[in-house]
Amino acid sequence: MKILQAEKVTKLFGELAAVSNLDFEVESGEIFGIAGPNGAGKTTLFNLISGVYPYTGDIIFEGKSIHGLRPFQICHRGIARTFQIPVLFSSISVYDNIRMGAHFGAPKEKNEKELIKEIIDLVGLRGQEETIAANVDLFDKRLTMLAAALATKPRLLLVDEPTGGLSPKEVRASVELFHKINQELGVTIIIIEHLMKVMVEVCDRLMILNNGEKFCIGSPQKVIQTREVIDIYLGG
Amino acid sequence: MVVSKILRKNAFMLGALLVLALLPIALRGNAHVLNILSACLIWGVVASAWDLSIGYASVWSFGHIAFFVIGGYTGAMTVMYLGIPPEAAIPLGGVAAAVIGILIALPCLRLHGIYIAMVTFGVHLVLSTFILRWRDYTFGATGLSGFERIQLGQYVFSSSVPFFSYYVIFGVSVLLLFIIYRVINSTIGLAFVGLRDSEPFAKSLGINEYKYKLIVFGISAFIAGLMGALYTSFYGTVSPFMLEVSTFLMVLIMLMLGGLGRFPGAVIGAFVITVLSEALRPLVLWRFVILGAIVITVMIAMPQGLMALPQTIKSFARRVTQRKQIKKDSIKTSSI
Amino acid sequence: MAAEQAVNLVIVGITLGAVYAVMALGLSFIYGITKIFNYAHGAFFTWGAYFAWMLSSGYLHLPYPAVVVITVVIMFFFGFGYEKAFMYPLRRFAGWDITAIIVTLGSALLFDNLALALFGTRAKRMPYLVEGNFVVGGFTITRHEVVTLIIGLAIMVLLILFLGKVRQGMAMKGVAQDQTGARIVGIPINKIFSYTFAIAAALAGVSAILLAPKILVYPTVGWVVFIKAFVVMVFGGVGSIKGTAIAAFILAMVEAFVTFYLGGIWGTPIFILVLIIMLTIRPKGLFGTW
Ligand SMILES: Nc1ncnc2c1ncn2[C@@H]1O[C@H](COP(=O)(O)OP(=O)(O)OP(=O)(O)O)[C@@H](O)[C@H]1O
Ligand SMILES: [Mg+2]
Repeated sequence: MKILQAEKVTKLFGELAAVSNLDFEVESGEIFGIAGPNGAGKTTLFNLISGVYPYTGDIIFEGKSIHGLRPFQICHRGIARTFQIPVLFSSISVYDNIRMGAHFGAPKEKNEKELIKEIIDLVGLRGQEETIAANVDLFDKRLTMLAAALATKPRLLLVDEPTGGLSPKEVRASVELFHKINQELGVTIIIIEHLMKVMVEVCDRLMILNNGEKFCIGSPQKVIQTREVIDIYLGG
Repeated sequence: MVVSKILRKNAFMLGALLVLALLPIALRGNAHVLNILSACLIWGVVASAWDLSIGYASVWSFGHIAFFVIGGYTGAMTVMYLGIPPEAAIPLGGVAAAVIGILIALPCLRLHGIYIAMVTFGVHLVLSTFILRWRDYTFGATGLSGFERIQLGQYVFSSSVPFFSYYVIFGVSVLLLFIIYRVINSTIGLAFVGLRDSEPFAKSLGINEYKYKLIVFGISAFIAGLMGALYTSFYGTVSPFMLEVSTFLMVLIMLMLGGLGRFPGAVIGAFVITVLSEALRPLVLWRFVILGAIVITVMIAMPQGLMALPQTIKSFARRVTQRKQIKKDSIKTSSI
Repeated sequence: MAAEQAVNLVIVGITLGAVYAVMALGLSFIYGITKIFNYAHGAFFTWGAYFAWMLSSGYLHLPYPAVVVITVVIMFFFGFGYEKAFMYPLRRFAGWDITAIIVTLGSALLFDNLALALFGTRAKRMPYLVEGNFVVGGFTITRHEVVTLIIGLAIMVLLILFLGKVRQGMAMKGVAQDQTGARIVGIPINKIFSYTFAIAAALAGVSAILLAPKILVYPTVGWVVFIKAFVVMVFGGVGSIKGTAIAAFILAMVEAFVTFYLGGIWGTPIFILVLIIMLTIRPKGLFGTW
């Protein structure tokens, strides 16, 4: 079953087509990777899915169009995201950051506290709850952002370059975490990532974007051995 | 046990409340000082309501003195022309201001920073045009006076009955400050802070930014308008004079001095500035010159405001010890 | 309405437009380049007007060209000193953009009331730059209006040349586009900030000289001009000289007609209405770039 379908999605910034006539589909339950050189339009694509900018074309989530919805409505439909540069609520605690997602993003439920606790345990932030978000390290910032997104109880999670600036050990932990989120919570994930090693490990399928266009799509092992993909990366 | 925890956590605020409740008795009804204290409380509430908007939600409304004046005129005019009892006219002032506040919020929904500031400040500047234009009802630049005041037995709510009036103002102020405090600590306050700290993230987590902008305009305009009506009733007069830019700047400065988004900083700022302004009154025209100079000096020395004084001192000490490592030409990135 | 009246209103609108454009360019310059929104810009205007008044009809009765030159020079240093004394020290801390708002507001309080304390509430009258009229084919134009228009246009041309051809001007544009990048390539940011304020203050001084003879000078005269300049800036788009000029002429024309038909007090409300409409439809303004 398809959870997300993009149809002829195009975004122009003035003359520049940041995303150009893009078609692709994401299967329910998979981890779908997106890679491509800097400026390929990956982040822009996430911004379109999550309702940040207007665009032409259509994006269908669980059979219904989400075109023209505002970000908070898209969240309520069941799509959550993280940002490439951590953008936390820096003046409040890690716990309150996560509460923000649970309270405003998740369908109303009695056990908000329980939900937050489960997520804190899942991502491994126990012990950091009371720390002010501005004061945690980069890895914990990423985890907090991810936890807040998960607290909205999404069925589709968009993750934008989660490993940038992390140590190899933290990258390993992240990879495991994504598997866990995907398998234990049953959340479909779309992940943007530069590290091909990570992509091969986590993705079921991988799409390469270049100049806003779909370049190719397939199993990660096959895609990264394609001559032209290597050229794009080396040639810039 | 719970009670003692609450007491300890809010020791400062409760202590301050106790002092404010007992001070008039200690002052033995010194009329001048009592009226200054009343003014401190009024401005403290107005500045705190404003802080909800600027400091917590980061909605740079510059319309709050206009809301205050709208509340004042509503209070006076409903008493004068509709014969509404003065104690009912005061909340009506809040309602009128809230309605106007929400109407002004509508074009501001998609705007940020100085754009909201200038739209709302434009409303402030334009308000006097309307007051002057409808002078049949507003008495133009002279303003309104001589309307009926609140009366409780032998006591009249008026600046010439300072002791009784102080307690009325004290009661209303404490109630409104408590409401502000509750809003800040509710999930509404959480949403405000979310939108302030990182709007894109907040929206992606399901926060409807339009809704909370309307809420913050509504609540803070209501409180400002109610205080405007109370103020008008207390002094027995309202005029476009209140819209002088210096009034606007003074209240804004109270808020900034106390520290943005640091309840009850705005109240402290209001006390400091009101008392200072009173102390400088003999200087007549030079008063605002000095106040302006003080504000500039304080902001340069202590940009986080009074509530952050302990932190500022600490970080200053740290900076002195690390002097060498600091680059001179450092400019931090800005958002407004 | 008689054709003559319409033409006169258009002329009033055009000259008023030139003044608003000069004022708005200063505001837009500061905001575009330093990202500081200068709430004291109205006070700059006020003080420009008082300096000109002191040099001319107030005390010294200097010839007008001298008044213009001296006022502009004074205002240039005024802006420079203002930035060095009040803005520069703020940049030590993160979050200085917020503090800068308060300091510019506090400065407005200080400068307005300094003018009040020194000169009193009584409005001062300023003489026209040049007295007399031109009569062209039945229409009368005051010489002051012609000179205003010439000066306004000359300033716009000079600014375009400055930003496009002169090294310092190009550096300013660089800072406007990317502060961090500009610093990395070695542009002295602090110097640029100071000169930006200096130029903007000089522009406020020029617009004061041009406008003051028509509206009198009093301690809060700058606020109304300031809010109008802001609307012009938003309407035209921050950072676009062409946009600012076009916006200034359109808005001033509207103001001239509204004032004629409805009365002077509706001048500011119409600007606010335009502001709200513009921000709702096209927040970037006509030609926004920065
Ligand atoms: N808001 C915007 N306005 C104008 N241009 C933009 C905007 N956002 C992105 N762009 C441009 O669109 C293009 C795609 O940017 P995008 O951020 O999507 O790239 P990316 O694939 O995420 O790159 P990276 O790997 O560096 O994160 C770039 O050329 C960028 O400059
Ligand atoms: Mg990106």
